Amino acid sequence: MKSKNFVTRESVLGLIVVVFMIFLSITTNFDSRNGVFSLMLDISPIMIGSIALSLVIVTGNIDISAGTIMGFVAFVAGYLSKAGVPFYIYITLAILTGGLLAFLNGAITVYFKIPSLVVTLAMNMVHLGFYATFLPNSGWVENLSASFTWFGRGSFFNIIPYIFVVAVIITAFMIFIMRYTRFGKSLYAVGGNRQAAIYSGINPDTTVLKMFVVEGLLLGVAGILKATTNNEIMPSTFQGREMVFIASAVVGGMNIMGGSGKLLGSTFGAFLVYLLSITMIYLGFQDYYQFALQGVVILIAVYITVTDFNKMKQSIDRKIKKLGIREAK
Amino acid sequence: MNNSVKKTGDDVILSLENISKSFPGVQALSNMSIELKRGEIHAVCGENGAGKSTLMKIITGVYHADEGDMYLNGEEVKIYKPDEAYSKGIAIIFQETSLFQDLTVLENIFMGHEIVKPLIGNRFKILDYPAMRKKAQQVFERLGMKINLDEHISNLGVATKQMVEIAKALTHESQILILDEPTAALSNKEVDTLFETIARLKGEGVSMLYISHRLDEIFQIADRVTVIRDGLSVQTEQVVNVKRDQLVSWMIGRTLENLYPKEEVEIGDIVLEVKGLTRYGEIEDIDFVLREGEILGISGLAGAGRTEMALALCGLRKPDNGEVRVNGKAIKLDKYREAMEQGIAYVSEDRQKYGLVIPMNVEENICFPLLPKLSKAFGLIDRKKSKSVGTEYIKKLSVKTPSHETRVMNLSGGNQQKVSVSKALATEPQILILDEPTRGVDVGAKSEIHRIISNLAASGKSIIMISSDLPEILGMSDRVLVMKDGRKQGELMRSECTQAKILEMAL
Amino acid sequence: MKKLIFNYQSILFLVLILLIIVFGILEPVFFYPEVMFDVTAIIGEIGIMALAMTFVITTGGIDLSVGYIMQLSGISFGSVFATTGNLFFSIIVALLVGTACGIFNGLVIVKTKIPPIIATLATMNLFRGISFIIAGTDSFTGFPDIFKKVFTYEIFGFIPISFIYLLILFAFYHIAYSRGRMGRTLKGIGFNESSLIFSGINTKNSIFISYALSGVMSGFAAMVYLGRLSAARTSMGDGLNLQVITAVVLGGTSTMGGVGSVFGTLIGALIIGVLRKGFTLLNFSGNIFNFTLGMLLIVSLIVFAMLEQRDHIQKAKVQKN
Repeated sequence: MKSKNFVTRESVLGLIVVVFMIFLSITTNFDSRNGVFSLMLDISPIMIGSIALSLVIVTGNIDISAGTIMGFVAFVAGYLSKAGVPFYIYITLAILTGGLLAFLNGAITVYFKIPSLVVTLAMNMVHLGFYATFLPNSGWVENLSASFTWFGRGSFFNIIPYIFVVAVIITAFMIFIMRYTRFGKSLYAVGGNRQAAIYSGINPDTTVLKMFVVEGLLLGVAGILKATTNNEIMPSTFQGREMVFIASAVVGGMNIMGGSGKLLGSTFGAFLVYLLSITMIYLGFQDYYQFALQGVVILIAVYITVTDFNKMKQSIDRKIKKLGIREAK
Repeated sequence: MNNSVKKTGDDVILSLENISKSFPGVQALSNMSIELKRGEIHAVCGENGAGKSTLMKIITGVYHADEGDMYLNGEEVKIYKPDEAYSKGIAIIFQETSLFQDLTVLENIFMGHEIVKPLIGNRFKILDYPAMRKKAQQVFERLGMKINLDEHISNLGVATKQMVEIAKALTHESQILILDEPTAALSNKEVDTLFETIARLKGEGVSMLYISHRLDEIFQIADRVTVIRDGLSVQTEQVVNVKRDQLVSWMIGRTLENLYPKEEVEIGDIVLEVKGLTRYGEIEDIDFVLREGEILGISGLAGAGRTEMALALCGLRKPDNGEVRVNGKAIKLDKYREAMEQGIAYVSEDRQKYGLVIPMNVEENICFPLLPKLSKAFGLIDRKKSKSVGTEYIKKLSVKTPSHETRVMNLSGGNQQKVSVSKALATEPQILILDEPTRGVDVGAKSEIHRIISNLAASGKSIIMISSDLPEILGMSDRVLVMKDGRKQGELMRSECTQAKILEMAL
Repeated sequence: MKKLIFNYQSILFLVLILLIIVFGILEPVFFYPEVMFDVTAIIGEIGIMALAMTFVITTGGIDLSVGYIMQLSGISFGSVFATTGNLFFSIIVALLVGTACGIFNGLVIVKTKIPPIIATLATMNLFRGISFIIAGTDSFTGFPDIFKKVFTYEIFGFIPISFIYLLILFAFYHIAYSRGRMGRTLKGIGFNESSLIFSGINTKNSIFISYALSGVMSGFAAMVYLGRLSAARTSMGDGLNLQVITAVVLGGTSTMGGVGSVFGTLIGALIIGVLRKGFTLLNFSGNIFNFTLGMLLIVSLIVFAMLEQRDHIQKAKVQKN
């Protein structure tokens, strides 16, 4: 982050989110039990997905296949559930699948030194084509029973969804990991200054590989949080979800070049982007306005992060000095 | 050597013997030997390209020596990776800091070797911030400075960043510190602070290798000095026993007169006038003139603003104030192309980054500035013209290359530099600005380049030559302009010029 | 590396011939000229956009928004035509829209420090969104015959005119890239932009132009597409950017910039077309095509990366001697 803020980006974001929510509750029926409940239901997978993409971005990479990976995870979970596999087993398998697919992305990126953008762009198509062709019913799983949906639709005290609790716990856990483990620090190092990371004894390749696995596991969780809220699964509907995650991360302060940003910021970013989109719905815009919104939001957020406002200020100062309005030193 | 333990003096902590290292086209080190005594500050000096940096990179595991051995505390060691050096107690403070700009001081200092404490039983370990803060505070106390551990590196000044680097080394419990031209970007006051720190560390028994070509500094803080020349260590002496000109002559190895083939040139009228050139934070109020056939040397310490002045002068970095006149006509300074069209050309000090496009071939490189002129209708490049320009300059500057289509990456440093200069010459400038023209160039090519410069002056061109190589400045310049802290400190005519006078103004 | 590229394109051409033969054996109707040239019609829009994309990738950047610029142009065309009924005017609008999108990309990338990846990722969504806003859930059809004729007329009964358009554009791009000032400048930028700036070259201009051109080509591609398929839908652009990028990368242009071939891009596009046509004839689903395309991109990236690495090692060996 280039600009010297006494107030951190995260606290400002948090404030905006709160203000937003208050505004919404005043002007709409947002604060009804229904509104808050669906907020928590919708935001849970997004929170996890945003964190997953944040990890990728902080190392200076990107993953455009994240949505598709989530789709496959959802399929695995649903299919196994229908086949009678116990809950905890298919959850575990599904999550591991996510880790495996992301690991594949990471392996190709690291081993062949190919930019992750193109790797994930290609793998995205590979996955999509694969699902549609080789999975039974093109991956469509329907008529899932309560043994599947209890998790997604259930809640504590009828108010707080299980998945929201899971999302919060995992978010907190990941924030902890980033701050309190060497692994977390190494991600910032690799993304910030690869050479310096090597001098510090960090192996950038194994670090990035590990990161992809963690990303995949998180996407696995996100996939499950999303899938269990419905009684049918269509993997292709997940395609493109990573846009929301990237937008959230970027709004939250992750520097797209890597090396800086806080997970807490990404979480607030997720809320902010979500609130923006439901505001638009409340205002009467159809859901396809989402695309344009995401595009603009990403542009603005990245602009704020990459622009060196200090430098801008300096050059404006210089211009003022030139006009002789202020005295030179 | 088949015994791994060598009996050296008890007081020698690090010893290198018969180290040789070569790169394609150049023998960087040949049979270099050097030893560092416990608790001493051992200066290493030599000209650019003598091999100082290569030696340090071998000690810290960035390069591997082709031949030779290294002994630490009397035992043979082999260091193959940078972090192995750290774990053996050797740390290097880089010239360009290797810090993480967006992370805090604390995070930077401990990156890769954070202090951990167990969380659950003995399995899961987490970072121990209180312990790290305590250690960091201790380290900074040792250095005698106060700092905010949570400050982002990007907000710190160069001198402070260097202190952070040193602190980083100390957290590794390094017994040996290597400082590579540490004062290059520091102000006088900051240099004093650094020297206090160095003295402090010496008092604690830390041994230091201090690389510098600033003779004054060497006399100020070093115990012994080793002069390196052409990859060999020439002489090692106690600093108290040696005089400045002795050092210089060891560094150069031959008398000044024979080295620089400067011809007598009749100097003509003023071709360039610079008045009040200013760029806030970099240079202030620079005035000077340049005459036809003249070679104006620009001297000064790194950070004095020499390159910045050159860039401002030709529009590569637009100045905030000032006027530049070529043959009496004022030129616009917001685009380099304008200056080029008025007859100014600049050759960068960093040919890898700014001078050349390494994967492209000689002809393509030389012709880049000429692209507009080499294009026919529809933007097609006139290949015949392009080839003839390329071959013309290959011949003129005696560039050793198999063909004009050879890729620049396959040429030696000296020949690459010649291509870089050719690029500027191809625009047929009246005024040529050369920034460190013989940096990283082997001795043979060096004198060739000097000959070329001399010929250019003789043919009526005017040259501004920025150089950190004092003998080069003295040997080639008709006049010397000394810069310090962004200002012009003084001017000396060739006849009255001595190294001492220049350094006096520069320091 | 240049020598390597020359060999690479030759190998690629052989691969193309091989594919044609294989498909021909499996489904002999493939050898009929009408069928083979249908391939070129299929890749009309991809080929056109890929030519411009070659320039962009050579500078070390990328344009992920091409497919949706095309979509936006197409939808604009359809919308304007539906309202005014003026074909000529609608075409102008469509081309202007494409150009405007390209200019927007160019400005964002050149004027701000936003990396091309994220910039075009964002604008991709933006353009897609705008096309939805204009079209809603409708699609536009009913374009006049003369429009279709301009883009689907077949010379001698089997050579699609869109292929001729492609070849003409190809000629311009190829010459500009391999012998023109533009090509050398773009390659230099891809390798080392700073060096070019220090040679007095206005690199920002060239970068801007490459993105603007990409927009223009996408607009033109929209016309070719609509001439052929006669319906402007809000799904026109889906998945196109992958096909375009695959054509370029397959053809030997490196994503790191500096190295590339317009000829290779053309062959890459043709290979994609052959695969599409072949799969259709063999009754493979569109999904198998997607899968194959993705695999094709990955494999070509890996092969290229390995070749580059081997090139480095060989170079180091040569220097040591």
